[in-house]
Amino acid sequence: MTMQDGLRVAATIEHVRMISDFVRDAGKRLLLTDEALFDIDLAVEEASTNIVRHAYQPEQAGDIQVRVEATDDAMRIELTDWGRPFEADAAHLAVDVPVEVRAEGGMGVLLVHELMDEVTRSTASAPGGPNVLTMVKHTGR
Amino acid sequence: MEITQRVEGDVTVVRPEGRIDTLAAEQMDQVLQAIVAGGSYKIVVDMSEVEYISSAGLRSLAAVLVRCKDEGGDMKLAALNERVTRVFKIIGFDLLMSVTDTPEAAIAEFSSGAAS
Repeated sequence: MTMQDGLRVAATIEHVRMISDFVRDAGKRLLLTDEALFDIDLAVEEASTNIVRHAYQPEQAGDIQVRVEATDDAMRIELTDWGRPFEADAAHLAVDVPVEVRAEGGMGVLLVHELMDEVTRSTASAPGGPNVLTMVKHTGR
Repeated sequence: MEITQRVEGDVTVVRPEGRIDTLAAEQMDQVLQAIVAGGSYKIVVDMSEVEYISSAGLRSLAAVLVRCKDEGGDMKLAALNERVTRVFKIIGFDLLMSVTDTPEAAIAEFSSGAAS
């Protein structure tokens, strides 16, 4: 079975909750385990929040699009924005960085990478082009 | 999000309920900051009814912990569920914060003067 669904909203913190609800509902329809749902839920919130906070300038309006695709053994979530390409600070991903430093930023990036099985990012080749973050969770059903 | 609090001796016990997402974390942060601003630096956060926490909530907890320790107090967490515990371990918060099985155990640690 393959399922596809999508949502495009203005990139605001309030809408992050809407995106989370949307993805969680899709996961529930697919009868994912509570554990898989939790991981996907958290990864989507962290990634969406990073887009809202970092892709767009405070005075700049922009959208965030979420697309969900599910197959028999995986759920793929694509988050697209049209803002500044988000460059994860590699230092924040290092496991030997003191937790106090990690708490300053990069916690979200770390969680996305730890909770999802595959994470890929394609950045816009020109300003205003789409940046796409793709996250895959193997559901093993 | 529902957040209740009670005072046991010189310890303030805070009990958030539900999902601590980015928006709810702002609400929890206001409650915790108000407790610290009121001069209480011994805080127990009872996490027994928290089913989810994201990095915004973790950042708030880390900031309040640092503030409490600066003032000679501490913040202890109690009754984390399995999934929240996993998030704590990924970030390394299990090494940063004292975590007990029950709020009563956390309160007891304060009264016995045990270090975190």
